[in-house]
Amino acid sequence: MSGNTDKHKEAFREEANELLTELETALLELEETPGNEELIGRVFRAMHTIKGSGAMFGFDDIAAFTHEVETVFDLVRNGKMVVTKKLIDLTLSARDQIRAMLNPDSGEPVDVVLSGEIIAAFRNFIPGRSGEKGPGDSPAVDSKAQAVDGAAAKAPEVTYRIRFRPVQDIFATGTNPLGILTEIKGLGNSRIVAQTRDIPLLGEINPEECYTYWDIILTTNQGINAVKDTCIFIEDSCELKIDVIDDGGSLDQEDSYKKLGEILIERGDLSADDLRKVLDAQKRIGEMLVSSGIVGPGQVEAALVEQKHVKGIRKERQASEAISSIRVPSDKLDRLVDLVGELVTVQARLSQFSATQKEAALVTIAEEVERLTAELRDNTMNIRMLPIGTTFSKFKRLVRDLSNELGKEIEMTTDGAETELDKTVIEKLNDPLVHLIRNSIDHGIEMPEAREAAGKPRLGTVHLSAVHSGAYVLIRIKDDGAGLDTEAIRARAIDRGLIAADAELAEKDLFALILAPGFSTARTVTNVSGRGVGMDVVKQAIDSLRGQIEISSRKGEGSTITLKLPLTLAIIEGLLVKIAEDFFVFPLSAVEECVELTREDAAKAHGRNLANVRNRIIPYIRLRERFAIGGELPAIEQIVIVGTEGSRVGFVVDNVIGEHQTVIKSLGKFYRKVEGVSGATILGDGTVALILDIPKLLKMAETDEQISFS
Amino acid sequence: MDFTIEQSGAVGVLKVDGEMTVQYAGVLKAALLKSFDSVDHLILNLDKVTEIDLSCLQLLCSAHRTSAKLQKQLTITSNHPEALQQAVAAAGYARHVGCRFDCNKNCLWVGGN
Repeated sequence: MSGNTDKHKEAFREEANELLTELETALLELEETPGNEELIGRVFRAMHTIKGSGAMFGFDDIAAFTHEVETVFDLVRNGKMVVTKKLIDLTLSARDQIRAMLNPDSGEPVDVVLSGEIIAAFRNFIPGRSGEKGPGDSPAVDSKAQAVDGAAAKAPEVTYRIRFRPVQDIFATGTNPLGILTEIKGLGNSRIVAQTRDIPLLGEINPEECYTYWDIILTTNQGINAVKDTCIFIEDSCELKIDVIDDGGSLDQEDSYKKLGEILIERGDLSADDLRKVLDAQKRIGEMLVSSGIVGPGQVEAALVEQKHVKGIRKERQASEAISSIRVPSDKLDRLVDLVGELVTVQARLSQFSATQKEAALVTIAEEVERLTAELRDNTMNIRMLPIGTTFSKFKRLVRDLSNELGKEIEMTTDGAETELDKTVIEKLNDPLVHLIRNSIDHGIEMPEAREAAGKPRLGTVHLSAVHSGAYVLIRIKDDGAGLDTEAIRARAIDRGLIAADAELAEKDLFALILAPGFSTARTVTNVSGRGVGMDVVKQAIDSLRGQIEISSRKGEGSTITLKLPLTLAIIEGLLVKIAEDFFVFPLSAVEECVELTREDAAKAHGRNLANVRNRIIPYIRLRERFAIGGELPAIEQIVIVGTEGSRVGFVVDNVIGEHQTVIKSLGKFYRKVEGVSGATILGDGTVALILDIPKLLKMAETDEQISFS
Repeated sequence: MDFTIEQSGAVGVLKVDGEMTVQYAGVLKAALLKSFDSVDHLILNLDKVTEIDLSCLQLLCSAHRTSAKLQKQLTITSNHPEALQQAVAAAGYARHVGCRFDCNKNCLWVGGN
């Protein structure tokens, strides 16, 4: 049971986190268009749902806290208050507070004092309620009521057929049956048909008695007890018959709802024999039944209403099912990707085996499996793709808060929010992007006055865009600020010993220096950035995503930072190579070409690791030496030339085997510190191949070079 | 509730004023019965009716059936039909076809909302 509760709590957390993100987006948009009723509605609904489901799953603190915010937005929604910047500010901080309460494990403990302050501030917004209640007391009763509300929102809609027949002397008890009907109507979507057949002629009628009974069709999510409760006070003086005629989906096996005759038989208003007799007459069933006098027009009316009602709700439901999606925990998805990875590996083995068997039937099967596996792999990868827009909207808040803090006027624009990236990439991208945007705001965009003096608009712009480019996504952070100061960078780099005092560097290489550890040119260390840990952390993070960073800048006009990221991290196209008996994989995207290296070529370079490729000198690294692999060198070796950060470098291997679908497996904790390899993959025959970490290998080679020089 | 009866020849007008509720249902029944005794066409004028409850809806229904049985005519008129419409909607009296007594196809509850 408790495990179940935990599961529900987890589901609530997940849902609430999404709602909070939605809330933030809506609030930021609302700030720009304060009168937008749709946005106000979105804010209110988000708060309402968090409160309702929060109370239901035992997050009483959240329910109580959210209650106040909801109250204020209810007033706004009803036009009794207007949206002000102050209200937006307060609501944003309330949102952060709810998030903190929601995720007590991550981050700092919830600041109860702050919660109190926020609640008090919201109460001050409510006209005539300011200071009426202390911040400590919680609206316990209300949150309970909301719990019911919340439960109802989750329950499926069920359609009931209700026959309500009060006793004849019901008026004498002072009860008005119409009141009960009104209550039933309040439960949901209903149709009510009065049955008046028993009303006698004037000569016989007792005007103080009730001759009417009702057939009611009600679709509600409140449950059967809520229906029964409407009659709770006259339980003994009425007949109440409730049948479920549609339970919200699981009864929908037939295409259409019951025929009129079936409904009447089910209700006991008609016998099956009578129906058959009447059916022979070949008129419309309703007319036939009435004219044959077996059932009154009132009963037919009620049955028709039931038919129409149920058809209506089913149609509606189908329409909503057509656009629905399902929520899957991401670890299930990860498991699926793992399995697909295993399948790809096994499929490779099958292909390899079938190739050696020379058995036509087996080859056909293997090819079929190969095709299906590829499709399955692509589809699975596709499921993991998320639009990057969710991350973008988070940054809107960041920009807003930071520019307020620094007294700058900055607008953030985005482009390509719909661009899809692997879930893992998006998750790991968050921190680097935060750093980069902070840098743009802090170092890039000038104070409004300075901008005006430079002939630029007061309002600075940070533009965030994402676009697909082959197997990569390019993410650009572009600002129209002061741009990078090349002189300051040079001075700083010399000061830090990163370059020699007389070094001649291309602008691009100079910019790349800001990615070096411990580099920061900001004169004052601000709250926002300038601790000099930013850019190298960004570089590391992007490297770990097998991505690249490119910086361009024009002084006075702004700078652009481009992140080039692979679409997915789980499966890559690789180039399989062999050194002695060991296999290695190059990420194919980095490989430019392969050339042969003969013993004579190597000898011509006089011991230096340089090769002449079409009259251009290319330095190379012998992987055999790097990984200390012994054995005989083949007569002709291969150089795999990779392009990285604008230069071309070769890696010497024994044999190039060919392209390989590489399912990336992590090496595990024990090998985490091994440098030069980023992971491993399993080949068709079960052998393990290591995936090369090209940037790291290059860096290691550079360091060795420096050591050997000094 | 007050009411007045005016008669000119075979046509009578029964004007009702105020609340048509269960307290007055007995009086209303007597008035209707009496009217049918003396006229062929009864016009029920509900211009000044502020509220109608279930008991009186039943009476109207019963009066209509009686008129059909007696082969007389019953017409309801009102320049403020809201009270009646409200009661009909609340009680679910509206329908598409009249009852078995409705041989002249002039059921009070057919059509409208």
